[in-house]
Order: sequence, then C-alpha cells, then structure tokens
Amino acid sequence: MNRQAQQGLLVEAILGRAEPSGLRCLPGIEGGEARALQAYRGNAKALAARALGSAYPRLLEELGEAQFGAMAWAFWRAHPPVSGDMADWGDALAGFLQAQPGMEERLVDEARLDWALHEAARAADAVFDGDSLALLGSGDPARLRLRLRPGTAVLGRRIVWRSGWRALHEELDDSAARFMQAQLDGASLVDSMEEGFDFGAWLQQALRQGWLIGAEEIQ
Amino acid sequence: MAGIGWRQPHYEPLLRDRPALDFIEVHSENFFAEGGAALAVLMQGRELYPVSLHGVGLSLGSAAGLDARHLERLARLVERVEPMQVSDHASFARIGSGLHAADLLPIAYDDDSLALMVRHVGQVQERLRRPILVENISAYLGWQSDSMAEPEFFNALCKRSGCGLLLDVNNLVVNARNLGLQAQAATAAACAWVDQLVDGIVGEIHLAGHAELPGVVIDDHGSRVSEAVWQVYRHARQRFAAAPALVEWDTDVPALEVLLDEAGRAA
Repeated sequence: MNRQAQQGLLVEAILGRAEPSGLRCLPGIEGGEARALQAYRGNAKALAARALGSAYPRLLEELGEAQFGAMAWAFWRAHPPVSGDMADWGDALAGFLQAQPGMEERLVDEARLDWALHEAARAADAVFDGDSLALLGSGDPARLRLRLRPGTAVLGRRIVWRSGWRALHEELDDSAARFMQAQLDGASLVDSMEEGFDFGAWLQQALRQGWLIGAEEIQ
Repeated sequence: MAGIGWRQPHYEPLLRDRPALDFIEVHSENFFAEGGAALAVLMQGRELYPVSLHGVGLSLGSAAGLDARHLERLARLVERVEPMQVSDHASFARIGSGLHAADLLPIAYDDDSLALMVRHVGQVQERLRRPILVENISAYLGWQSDSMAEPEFFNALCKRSGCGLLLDVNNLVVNARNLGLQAQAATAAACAWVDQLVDGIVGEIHLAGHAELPGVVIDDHGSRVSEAVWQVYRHARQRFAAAPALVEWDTDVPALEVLLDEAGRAA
C-alpha cells in the first residue's frame, strides 16, 4: 500500500470508518492503536464543536453545548473540512440539518443566518467610493449597477451585512430584498427594480447602513 | 528573547496593556480571511510587536500534495504582516479525497517521507521567498516504515531544504512519556534528542503544557509548562541560546498575566 493510501486510511480510521494500515503503536499508550485513534478522534470532536460554534453562535445557544457538540461531530463525519482554515468549514450545515428527519425549519433558518453573518464578518474590507455614485445621476440605469459591501447577503427578506467590524442583519420589505438580491446577482438597475419600489428611500437607507460602497457601469 | 502565542481571549488585554514581550505568535490560518476584525486586530498587534506566523494547516507531509490555495492565502498574509518567522509542522492532514483532518498527524520518518517533505518545504519557501521553520510534533502513533530517528530526519530536512527547526520541547517530553518512559527517563531521552541535532538548525523553541491522563499523555497546551519540559528547555538553551522561545496555551486559556509569567521564565 502506498503512502497516500496509508495516510487516507489513518484519517478515515479517526472518523471510525476504516481500519488503518502500517501503523506502529507506542508502548506507553495503554490500549494501543484504539486508544491512540481515540485521542485523535477526541481532538477532532473538540475542534468540530469549537469551530462550528464559532461560526454558528445562535444555533449553539439554541441547542446547548451537548446537543450542538454531537451535531458538530455528525456533521464533520458527513461533510468533513476540506481546507486548513477551519473558518471555511460549515457552509453545508443548513442543508445537513434540513435533511435530518423531524428537523425544525426554524433551526435551519437560524443556521443560514449564522453562516451569512459569519461570512460577512470575514469578508474583504472595502472603501466607500462616493464619487462613483455620481453615475446614478449621469449614467444610463440600464447599464449601471450598484456595488454592495463584500459579504452582503439576502436571505429571504433578511439582509446580512457588515458595519465596521460587526456583522448585522435586518428585515426588509419584499421589493427591497428582491432588488438587493438582483444587484448581488449583477443585474442592472433597470432590471432590478420592480414597479412601486422606492429606490430613493432605499438609497438613503443603504447609505445610512453602509450597504452600498459604490456604483459601476456594466461592461 | 521570549514571546507568547497570542490567542483570541488575549487580543484586547494585550493591545490595551502592551506588556513587555519580544514577540507574539499567531496561528496563520486564523487570519486567512480577506478582511474583518481578526485581521485588523493582527495588524494592530503588528504595530506593537514583531509577529511570528505559525501555521497548523499546510500539511507539509501530505502524500496528496500541498493545497495551492492554502499556500496562496499564506503568501498573502505573509505579504501583509511581514513576519519575523513563518513556521508549520512536520505532519500531514490532507488526503487524496481532498479531506483535511485539521490535526497534526504523524508522518513516517523514512527516506520517502524525507524526500516528500524536502519537496514541499522547497515549494513553500519558493512561494514565500524566505526560509521557514518546521516543528517536530507530538504523536500517539508511529509508522512501521520508520527507519530513522527523528533528530536525524530533521537534521537531513534542514540541510536539504534550507529550512530551520522549530524545536518543541514539550512534544519531546510527551512523545517520550508515550513511548513508555517514566518521568526522569523521559526527560533524559528528550535531552538526548536535542543532543543529536546539528549546530545552528533551531530557529525557535516552543514550550507548552500537557496533560497526564491514565494510560496516555496528551499534548493539550492547557496548563503551565511542566518542570520536566523546563528542564529540557534549559538543556536546549545551552546549545541554541539565540533561538527565540515561545509559550503556547490553547485550551482553558488563562489570564494574560499567567502567560506573561511563563514567558518571563523562558526569557
């Protein structure tokens, strides 16, 4: 068996779903290979709960440490990390929860909100380009779109964004939420606005809340 | 020269109190985000202290190869922070399926592994345009193919790749205890490990606490440095006096003063 296969088996053995090969037990560890694997598994379980708890604080609060820890380990086994940055791990949690029998939709929504806040908190910093907003008065709205702050997301009617270092969320009316989603998708102003949508009021709110960082022409 | 591992509970007190420290060390991956509070805090810390970037996720010993995206993110962070040191571990976590175990899993100490590590360390150093330090790990398992002693492996790795050794003296004691040696014999074995290193290869020394559980010693970085580890540290200091020392504390993190007290003892 080659080295890559052996390493793969050790990782799978830690997850409890393979027999490792080519290992050597350390004589001072009572319980041999099983105890050693248990030590690594213990590390992984603790890290799973810690990393996921950091990304999903509301869900952790809702479920409590014991239930959240068990869920985190089940999630790790189903959707293990694929990056060395543990903050990247966890985006599939809402889908994982939704697939669990009897799961409350409320908790799935909570998970979606937690992840969006987590992503907003670590999104790229951006500088407000006030000069570019002059395009709103001079440009063709069919060829213009807005630049929203990196990390901004729309979940149904809820918008998630970062203000300073804090990730925030707020509920909007339907037309404003759809407008922002269209802008995030890259649509032009004209294609994003529904009849009756009050762009002026939205713009004031966007500037006040820091959702907007500029405007640009669609190339 | 002594520093501390700077963890989240100590971000604010360190920036506020600005204690006398020679440097701080952070886990690189915690600052891989493109923006946000953590990165801003690190940049504030960088204004006060030299920063060492210590990675836990490069997976230098992975037979599946390095993660190019991880290396690029590290390179970006190195450009931003301009650290005094960059380091990671002689371990693997990444496997062929793409899964990352997020742990420091043992590599084999043999010729194949050495060649792999030399190649990967070379790739990293080429991308970062600087030498790195590679840390010896604690392990609860070994490989049947092990054919060389660990110090021999690190001597060869440093010579062939141009990297330095980040000598973790706590890991030496943990490993010796898990090999079945009683406390005094374990300390002697750890000192003998250090004696086998060639001159000049140690670029930094790590100190940390460990937990003695029934039947196993766990490298948990969750307590004060043990007297056995201090003994090995003093021994290593005699040969590697210029290497900066760093106290790590990652679980049950105490008040900053406790870490500063430990760092003061290492200075």
